[in-house]
Amino acid sequence: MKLLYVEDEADIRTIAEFALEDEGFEIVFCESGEQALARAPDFQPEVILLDVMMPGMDGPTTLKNLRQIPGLQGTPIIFLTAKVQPDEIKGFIALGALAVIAKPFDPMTLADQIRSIIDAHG
Amino acid sequence: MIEADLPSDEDIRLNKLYELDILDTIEEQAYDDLTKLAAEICQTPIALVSLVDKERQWFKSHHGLDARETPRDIAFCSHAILDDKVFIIEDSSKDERFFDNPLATGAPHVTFYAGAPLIMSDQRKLGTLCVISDTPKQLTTSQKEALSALARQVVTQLELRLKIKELKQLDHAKDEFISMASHELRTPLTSIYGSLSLLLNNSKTPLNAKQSSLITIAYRNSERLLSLVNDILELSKIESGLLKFENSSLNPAQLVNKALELNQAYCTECNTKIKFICTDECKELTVFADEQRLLQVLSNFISNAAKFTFDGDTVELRLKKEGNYAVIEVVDHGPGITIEQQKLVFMKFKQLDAPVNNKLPGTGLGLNISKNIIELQNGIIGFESIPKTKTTFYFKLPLVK
Repeated sequence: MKLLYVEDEADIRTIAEFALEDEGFEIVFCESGEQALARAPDFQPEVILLDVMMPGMDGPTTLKNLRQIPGLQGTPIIFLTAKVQPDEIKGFIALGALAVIAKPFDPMTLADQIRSIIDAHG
Repeated sequence: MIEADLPSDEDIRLNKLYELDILDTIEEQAYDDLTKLAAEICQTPIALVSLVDKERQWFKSHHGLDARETPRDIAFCSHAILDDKVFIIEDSSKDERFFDNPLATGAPHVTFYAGAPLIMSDQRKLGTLCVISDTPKQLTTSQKEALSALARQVVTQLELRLKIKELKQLDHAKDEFISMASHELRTPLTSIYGSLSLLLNNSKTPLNAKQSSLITIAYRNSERLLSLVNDILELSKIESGLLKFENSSLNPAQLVNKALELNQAYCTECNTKIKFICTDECKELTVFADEQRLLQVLSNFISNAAKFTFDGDTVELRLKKEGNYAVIEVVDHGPGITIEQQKLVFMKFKQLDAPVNNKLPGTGLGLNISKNIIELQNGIIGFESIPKTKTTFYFKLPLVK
């Protein structure tokens, strides 16, 4: 499965890389929303993991811009964030995110979490 | 007509007035009470709290008058704010400054005017508490003094308004800080927690016993730090009244079963068993509350019980009906809480001395958060402890009929 992972913290990208290796994902890592927008049209991911708080273009803005890209209007987008108060989660879903995974995430179950979100989505 | 001079501190005075953020707000009882009293005491039909703005006077309270503002150049109050003393015109028709003033020649026919300046603590005179009559009049000394006293009360209200505004800003800054701090703390925690978890679960190159033990310690403590960050954020929400509840009709027996399932693993880790005791009549009760919040409280009770009781104990969850309340109890048979320590139980950051078990330390905030959660849902929280015998933590919630 082709996965686009957008996260400004290099350490967290590394952990995600280890957590998701050998799990059947083909992953492109991006360190900013801008980079994600540049890579996404060619890569055509099947799922997008998006950090919320990033310098420059934040997660919600990146989501809106990704939706403008041909082929990505309906791609599942999952936010990965420490902002997980109930009203914050509702806000992310209202923006068009499929789900929110709380940080710190458990690297041992991250791949399963992503898969079950996608499966539930159908 | 002679227009009033501008006060020498006009710019600073206006800044102070704008700082209050009061112009064009709705009437408030506190000011209306004071104008009513002023009118009663001075025996006039009209009494106003007038604030002198750049181009107008605006009335926060307007007893006996419909208008909320008049132009500043014809306002009697523009004169009154030039001095600290009560400014009195007994008969405007005989005063060269006012005889042809449109407010005197036309409605509301200001003939008698007495205005006590509103002198703020920094000496700025923002307006007046004034009394007005359409016939000539004199004030007695005691009426004049009363008017000054009431004006000081208006000032007290204004100062309080400033204080509240300041506190709200501080409170907002505090909330922002906590939200930011929580995010800033979680970001590095994500890396620490994630790295340790990957190391611990790396089956390709297993750790030796010593490495594994050290990584386990670091992992467990990163979990503990995370709970602390979560609890502090939660507590700050409670204290600023921002905690939201999503209430629904709940079956307490099902709730307790869920809590049991959620905490089974933790109890096993603490070498304790857990069971649920409930009579048939209690299986169909209903309360109206926030399920997640109640599970949070129950998890707190259960983890405390499992942690502080002896190895091999069975923690009992009990559900009872008491009058119009559903009572949920968590009972352990451990060392209990000494009388001296009992008063500390629900206090923030007070962890009781626990010689029995300190291998799974908590944050010291759980019970304080639990107390807030239960009381904000109209419940009662408490405990009974018989040292060396047993401890029961309980909460009661009103039953829905």
